[in-house]
Amino acid sequence: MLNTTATVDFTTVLARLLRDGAARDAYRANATALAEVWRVREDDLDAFLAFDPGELETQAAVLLRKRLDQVARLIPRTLAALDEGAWPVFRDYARAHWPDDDGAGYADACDFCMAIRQGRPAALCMAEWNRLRFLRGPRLAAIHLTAALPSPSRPRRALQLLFRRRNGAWREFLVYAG
Amino acid sequence: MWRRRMRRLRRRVIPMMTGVGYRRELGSWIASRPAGVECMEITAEHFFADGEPLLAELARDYPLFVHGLGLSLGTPGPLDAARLEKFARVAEIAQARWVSEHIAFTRTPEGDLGHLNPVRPTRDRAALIAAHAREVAVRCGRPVILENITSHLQLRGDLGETDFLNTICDLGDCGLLLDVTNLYINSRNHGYDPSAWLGRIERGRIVQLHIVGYTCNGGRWFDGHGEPVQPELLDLAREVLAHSPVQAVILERDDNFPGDAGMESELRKLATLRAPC
Repeated sequence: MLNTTATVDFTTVLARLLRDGAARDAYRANATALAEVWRVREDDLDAFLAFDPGELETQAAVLLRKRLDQVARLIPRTLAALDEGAWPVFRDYARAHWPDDDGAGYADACDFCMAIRQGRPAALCMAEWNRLRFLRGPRLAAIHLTAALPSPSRPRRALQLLFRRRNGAWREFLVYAG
Repeated sequence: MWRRRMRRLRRRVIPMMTGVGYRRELGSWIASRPAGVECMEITAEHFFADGEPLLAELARDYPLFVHGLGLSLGTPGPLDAARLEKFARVAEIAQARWVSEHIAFTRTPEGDLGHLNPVRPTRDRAALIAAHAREVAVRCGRPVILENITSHLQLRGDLGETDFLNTICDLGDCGLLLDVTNLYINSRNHGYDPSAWLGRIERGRIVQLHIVGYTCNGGRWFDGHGEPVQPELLDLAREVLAHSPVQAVILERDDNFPGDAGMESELRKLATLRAPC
């Protein structure tokens, strides 16, 4: 939790509550104590103490759903492999983790993939993981040999080739073996 | 200049147009010039990085309105100058009739929430949002209209929600983009009468509507932007049209796209709004 000597305005404390599940737990346990720790501005104190914890959770869940929608566009096969488990796995990861915005969700998707690697490694699509790391990095080209890349019929061994032009546009080629 | 245009916009009585929010998934359908698409709303952020030729092409074919998601008018302090520049450039290329943003915040100095969140309805915040809206209008040289959002939070302030919106419009010399679906959802989740709410909005302020089907799950209503427009939303939209001379109604479908025939069916629903009640 953040603690500063200056008072903090309402928008900032609301954002903290929406981003951080542990902060919402602390609010639910003792909102007054949290207001003191955060040094909520006096003019905003009544409104801060009037939050309905259930409404806060619902609003926070909406934000997490939006994040998941964005991540799902980047790693659809991984999400499909998680199936019904996608939302609870993402919620557990995201409730305590809010990556710095990169505008496209790459950081979130990468961090989520790392969490999946630890908890559900079989669900992680390596092609998507390779692509994400390439898109986040500065390299103009990358080559990966992967044992089980997706193909129309079955997962097959393949080379995954990624290229980026100077204008930022990128292409991907898959060369299947056998 | 934008003030004159805003006044003209509010006074002008023109036939209401119907259209869609442009999405990449709808590109080939839109290229076929479907009946019922008389105007289009484009999302500014979708064209920040690229797509200027497409934008210019759309501007040749349709009246366009530019809609922003991330200017975060409700965040205290100055607007993000780089983002505003990109927004203004998109508005210029699109030759937008007006530009719109939300009465919301999406970020604070500590980080970006990536989505719209409610602003406390106080006079101070109304003045802040109005000042930001004026800055956008000046930079873009176009009228600004502001949209109501859905929120699962009910925030306390010294103004009610409708007074808050009226005050912002007065101070900012701007209009309203009324999201009929958001109004309906908030009224269900927070238990109030949307018609009474509408009655408290200053007449003539509403310039444009958004509409798309809602979802309901576990006793709460959500704006998933992926469902067909329900009849009760059309009824509420008719009430709005009787209240204000709305100039455009935009179908705001973002997900679960129903195919060409499905989109045309949705647009036919919007066309029924033109019929006398």
